[in-house]
Formats: sequence, structure tokens, C-alpha cells
Amino acid sequence: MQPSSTVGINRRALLSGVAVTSVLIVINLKPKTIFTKIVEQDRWILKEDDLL
Amino acid sequence: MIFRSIEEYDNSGFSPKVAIIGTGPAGMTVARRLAKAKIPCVLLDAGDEDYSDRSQKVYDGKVIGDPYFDLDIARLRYLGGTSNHWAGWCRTLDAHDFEQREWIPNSGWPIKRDAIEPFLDSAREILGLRNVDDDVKMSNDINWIDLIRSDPVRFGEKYKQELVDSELIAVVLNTYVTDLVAKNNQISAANIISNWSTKGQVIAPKYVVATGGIENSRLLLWSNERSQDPVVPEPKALGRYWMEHPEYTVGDAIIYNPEAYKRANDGWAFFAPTPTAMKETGIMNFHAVIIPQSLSQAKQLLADFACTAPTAAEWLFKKAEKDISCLGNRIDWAWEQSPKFENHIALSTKDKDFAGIPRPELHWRKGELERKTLVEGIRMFGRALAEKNIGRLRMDDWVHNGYDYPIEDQEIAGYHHMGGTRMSTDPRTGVVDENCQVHGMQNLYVAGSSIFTTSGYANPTMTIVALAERLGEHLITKAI
Repeated sequence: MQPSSTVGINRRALLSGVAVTSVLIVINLKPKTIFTKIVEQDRWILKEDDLL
Repeated sequence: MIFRSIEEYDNSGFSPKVAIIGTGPAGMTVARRLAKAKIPCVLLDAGDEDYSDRSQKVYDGKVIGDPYFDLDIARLRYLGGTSNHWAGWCRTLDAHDFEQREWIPNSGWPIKRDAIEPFLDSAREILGLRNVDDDVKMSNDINWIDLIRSDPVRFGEKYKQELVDSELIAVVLNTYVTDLVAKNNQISAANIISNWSTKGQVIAPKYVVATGGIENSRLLLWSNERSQDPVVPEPKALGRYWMEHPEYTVGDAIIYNPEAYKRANDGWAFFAPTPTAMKETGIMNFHAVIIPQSLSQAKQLLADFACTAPTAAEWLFKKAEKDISCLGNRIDWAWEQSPKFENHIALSTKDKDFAGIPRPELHWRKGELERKTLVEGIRMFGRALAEKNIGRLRMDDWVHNGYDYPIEDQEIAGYHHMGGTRMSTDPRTGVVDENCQVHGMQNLYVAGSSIFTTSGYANPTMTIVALAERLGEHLITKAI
């Protein structure tokens, strides 16, 4: 029982790892798609796009 | 009943259960609450029914530290007290203002906001207020908040007839309480001067000091010097941890999407940080105000914006359909001051009033945490406006470059005198306990904003009235 139980834990750990990695990828990607960089110029607080 | 001299009062044979010193929002609220429970009280005012220069000059004092108002105009000495020049702004302290916040030294009340909530309905009734609307999220960091501009209640005018008709409240005008006399941890008498010359005493089983955020400290400090037994047995915090709300114009803003938040009829709108944003940034509470400006100011602002961001300015001009009158706004700021031992009321060693009582000295300075709250708060608010496509904010030069606080054309502060007899479970850091009772005294209580442990950003009157209602209820149910 002991070895198969260990395998089971490893599988669960592997699956958890995949899930966590997926979440991290989503978190990492999301800001890149919606993030607006805020900058300061001449005392104004602006979006970076304002200066284009 | 209203008496105009101590002789009239003495001759009436009135026998009070409580002597309340001060007829402003705090003192009058306690008196009215007691009267509703059929408990007789005497309500003392040093001034008369109306303003007089002579009475007002008793409030002279000295300010040491940052620029501040002359003390003789910062509060009023006649029936109704400082409610007589109150502007009417109302909101209670937020729940998080009562919490201990590790980044703000000496923060944390011994009570939570829950403790005053049962008294908010009656406070609203006393002040003639509508309900305060819930905060509305504007961004992750900033909420729109409801700061009510009410028709200000002048307590002397509004409640005068009730006082005249009352058989349970004896108002005694022209009666200056110079000091309290203590014996065996109890107040035995209040020494008074009536009509500028007649000395006497007012005696009651219990006493409430409600003379305002400077005079409460002054009266207790002087009483401690005069009385054989101490009036405040553990005086380390007496007069200390004094606070104000700094108030400045800090910038301007082009607002092109004002529909994103609720506005008053005049276009004003108020905003405050979320508790999480304050914690993450390590700043105190504040409120920002968007105030619409004139067309000429809008033109200048847009011209300045075009110099920095020409493409965006062109887009803005088109979006406004060439009517730019609504774009220009001023940004005003009011914020919390940290309770610091160094900021305090002291008794002058040189100057005395007509009765020989030392005049007050206010030692008051803003510190690094106030500056950080200002600068980081503005950046937080400016980011929120930009991220949510509401507008663009420009900091004033002095804020951006870290110059001294300006004096010209500025409010400076809110005329909100807080602390001095603050609430704390520890007598080393406070004068009154959670029931507004002076530590170590059996029959002495304090009412008013001098008991505030921290200041929040909210104008204090509504919290003062709610706490006074709570003190009245405590006296009725537990102490009398």
C-alpha cells in the first residue's frame, strides 16, 4: 500500500503543480493585456498613451 | 429655564444631578438627553445669549509651531458655542478610523464604531440630517464618499425655546467656570465668576466638561494646578495628542467623465481611500474634493495640458465638443493628523485673562506622516482618475516639489480642535476611559472632540453629537 499511496500523492502533487502554473500564467498574462502605465510629467498624472 | 447670573440661579433653588460646562453641540446634547430621562441638570455658559467682543477676547491665546488661526476667532464663547460658526459639513468617523493601525503611532480607540451607531439616528435628528449614503467604489484604492453639507444647526438658536420652557435644564449664562475643586477623587465644586466679577460655586453630584477642544484642556490643566487634590490624577496625557485637519488646495484636474461619480448640485464630489490602500501605502485617512472652476480657469488648464500632452488635449477638446467649460476643476484636500504627544495645549506662564487664568498656548506642527499622506494620497487619487478614464490631475508645485505648506489663499485647517483629553484605556496615553470618564475620578466626564483618540478626515460635529448622546445614555443608565 505504501508505494502506490506515494505514487498517488505524487500524481496529486503533479496535478496541483499544473493547476498552480496555469493560474500563474493567467495572472501573469492578464496584466499585460489590460495594464495601463501611469506616468508623471510636468506635475500631471497621466496615462503613458497621453504622451504619444 | 435660562438664568443670566449666578444669583438668579442660586435663588431658584434648582437642584441638579449633573453640572454641564459648555453649551455647544456636546454639552447641550448631553443636557437634552438627560432632560428627556427626567434628570435635572445645570448647563453653564461663560458667555451671554449673543456674541460680544469682550467675551470673545477671553479666548485669546498663543500658537507655537505651524501657522494657525488666532485662537480668539477659532471658537465662539456664547450660547450654542462654536456651532454658531459651524459650516454644516457632516459625516461620522469611518469604522477603520477607530482601529489600531500599526503604521500610525498612537492610533486605536478603546471603542469601535459600533459603540456610536445606536446614537447616529438621534444625532441625525439633532442636526437635521438625511441618511449618509454608502461609499461607492471608484477604483481599487479610492471610494466616492458622502459628505453632507447640511443647513448648520446653531444650537443656541434652535434649542433656545426648548431650554426656556424646560424645568429640567437650568441654563446659567455669563458664568465662567474658572476651575474645578477635587477631593478624594471626586469633584466637589466648580468655582465660577458670574458677570465678570461675582465669585461663586456650582455644585452637583456629577460634572461634564464640554467647553471645546482647547478650553477642555485649559480648564483641567488649570484645575490641576489650583486644586489641593488632583482633578486629573494621572495627567501625563492631559492637553496632549492635539490634532487638526490640515486643509489645502493641492492641485487641479481636467474631468471629462464626471458621470462616473455622484455630484452635488454645485458639482462638488468627495473621495477617500480604502482601508487596504491606506495600509499598503502606509498613509492616514483623507478626503479629496473635486470643485468645478470657471471657464477661464478651464481654458488655462487645458492650454497647460496641451503643452505636456498635445495629442491627448486635442482628443479632449473634441470629446468636449468645443465646450470646455465643464473640464476645469480644483482639487482640495483635508486629511487626518497623527496623534502626537508633542502637539499639545499648555498654560501660558505670562499671559492671563481678566480672571487671572493663564491663557492657552497651542503647540502644533504637522509631521512627516502628514506630508506622506498628502503626497502619496494625491498620487493615488490621480492614478484612479486616469485609470478609470475620469480625468487627469495635476499636482500643485509645492506638493510636487516638497516645498513648505503655503499660507496665501489657503484654508490651512478645518477649525477642528481634537485631542487633549483623548480616550484611552491607558491613563498614560489618555485622559478619559471608554465611557468618557476621567481616569481615577468618580464623577467627572468630558464631552466633545477633545476626547477623540484619532481624527479621521471627517468633520467632527456629527461624531461629537453621537458621542455626547452616548455619554448621556451612560449617565442615565449606569451612573445616576
